[in-house]
Amino acid sequence: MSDASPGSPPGVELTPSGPVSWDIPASAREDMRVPVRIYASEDLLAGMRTGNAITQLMNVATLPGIVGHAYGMPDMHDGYGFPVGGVAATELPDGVVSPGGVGFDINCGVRLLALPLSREALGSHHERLVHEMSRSIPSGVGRGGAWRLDDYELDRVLAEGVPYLVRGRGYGIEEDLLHCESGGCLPGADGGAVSPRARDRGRDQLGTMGSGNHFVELQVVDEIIARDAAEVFGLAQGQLTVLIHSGSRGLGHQVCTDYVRLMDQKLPEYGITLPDRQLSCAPVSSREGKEYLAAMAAAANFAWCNRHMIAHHVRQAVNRIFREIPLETVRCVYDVAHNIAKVEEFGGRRLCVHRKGATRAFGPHHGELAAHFQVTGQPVFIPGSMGTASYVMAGLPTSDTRSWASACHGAGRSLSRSAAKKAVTGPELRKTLEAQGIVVRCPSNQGLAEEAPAAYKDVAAVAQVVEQAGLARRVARLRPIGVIKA
Amino acid sequence: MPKPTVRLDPQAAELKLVIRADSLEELFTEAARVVSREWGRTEGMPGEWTRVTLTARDRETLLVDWINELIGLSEVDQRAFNEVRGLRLAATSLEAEVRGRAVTGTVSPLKAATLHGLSLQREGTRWRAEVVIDV
Repeated sequence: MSDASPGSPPGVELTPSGPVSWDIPASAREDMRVPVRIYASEDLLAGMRTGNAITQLMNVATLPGIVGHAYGMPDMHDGYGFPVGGVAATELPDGVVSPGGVGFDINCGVRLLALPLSREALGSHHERLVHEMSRSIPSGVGRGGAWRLDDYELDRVLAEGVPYLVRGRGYGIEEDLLHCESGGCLPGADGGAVSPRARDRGRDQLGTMGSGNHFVELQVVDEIIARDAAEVFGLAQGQLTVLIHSGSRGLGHQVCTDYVRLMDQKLPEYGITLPDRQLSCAPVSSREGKEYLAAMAAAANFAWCNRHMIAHHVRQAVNRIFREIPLETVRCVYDVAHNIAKVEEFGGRRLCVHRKGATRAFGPHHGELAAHFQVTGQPVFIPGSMGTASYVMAGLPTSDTRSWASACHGAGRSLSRSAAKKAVTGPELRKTLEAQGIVVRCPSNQGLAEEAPAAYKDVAAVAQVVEQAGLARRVARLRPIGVIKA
Repeated sequence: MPKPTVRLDPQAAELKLVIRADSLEELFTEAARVVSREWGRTEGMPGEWTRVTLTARDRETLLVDWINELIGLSEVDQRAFNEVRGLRLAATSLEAEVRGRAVTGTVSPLKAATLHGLSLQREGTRWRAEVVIDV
């Protein structure tokens, strides 16, 4: 396997192609169909060189039907098959779709809520609000949500996504749909393409956070960087926000498992050879490709509904403490996916864009954006680690040609979970965060330590590279004051 | 006879599971114990035996399917399946019965076993498997 040895691939040179971009030509390996381009500062690139991410991105460049470049975002790190922070587009109809290029947590993503409340007005309710949100949101695996979906409800969630919750069930408001990527519903979803096991895994998980790196964070707008876009996004200095990070839970994991397995079996039939079996894929036009995209869309709709229900719990928690704040005034700024494959058009070509650990970043005047984002570009969120800042950004028009309209999805891991636990214990980290004025609600010291800030890259450096690369511009910086984790 | 050995080698965002055992049956049983341990703390009496039947193109793929079957079952039933009986393993098929206790607190939930870097081979007189698991 070409991914066996760590470090930069031997004999492969990364050539600078811009102030923060590095190229590997397609000729670097016989099986590569397109070149690789990585957006990184020298420091971030040095971190990438210590793992297998670069080799993994070169493996992605071998996928049948891939066009342009295989792109690595500034937060890229080792994955399995695709690196996390990898973007690849294949041309329809016969380019492939790879479930591993989306990942197990289909439509893992983030939703940002803006509260009609300032840090000052929160005052002494700080701890109480974090506690109330923590009480309201089921967090860990194995702890189902309050709502156990029957088959009819699950089918509607999978097929219709967030519009079903808003219009059919009365959760949230119509405006939420305008502030959600794809309106909270990816077309072409088919619950029939989702296996019974996947349905059963997700049935009682709607509105649950999950564990690992998922979280809900209470934040304060710490710095406004681009006033024009901040005004459109409805963000002001000192305002409170809530960032929700979760995905499609067990349902999405099972969809990915099912289709990686199916496509792995079918590779010989399509004459596809791959350097890593986890890249298993099938032509978009094939039966397996169409079924996967239908199942993936259903899982993506489930994930949007999951974050929507968590947002509903947050709204209720805010309203329980601040009776004068109606639920609907806790606004959804935007909701973005960062593990997804979507059919998009670039220069008249229909492409299947895989974003694994990468966020769509449409620039201004893009037809898919709601009217209010036409001037600013699409909101992009780059969460940092616990105790560090997160960035709100806006997509730039140049992202179209530079990264298939994509930006990164977070700070990016630099340490394994066990290395993180060696660097700091849960109780130590809890104490440090509390000393910074951050209220922590996490029942597991182990889970807390695994997500320690030291385990992640510097989010400010990552956001800066995204801006320098012309993918998205910084709009505001958010500082955490409350962290809820499983 | 030496017992099976297990090493969990943490990667950036996943676990690499390395198991050595004298027989394939032992190796697969040990894999079930690892999934069970990682799933969480348990309590109460074991539940009913559940039958598992799998087919795959080869044994190493069977191992991934076996782990994924146990992860899926654990999440749906909220049980950690640490007991395996009647394991019958052929080149492309597997039959077994599993049972486990109710999970009271999840420790490190597993998402899925991957095909990335997968291997299952003889190493001297023993079998050695390597599986990367997303967590």
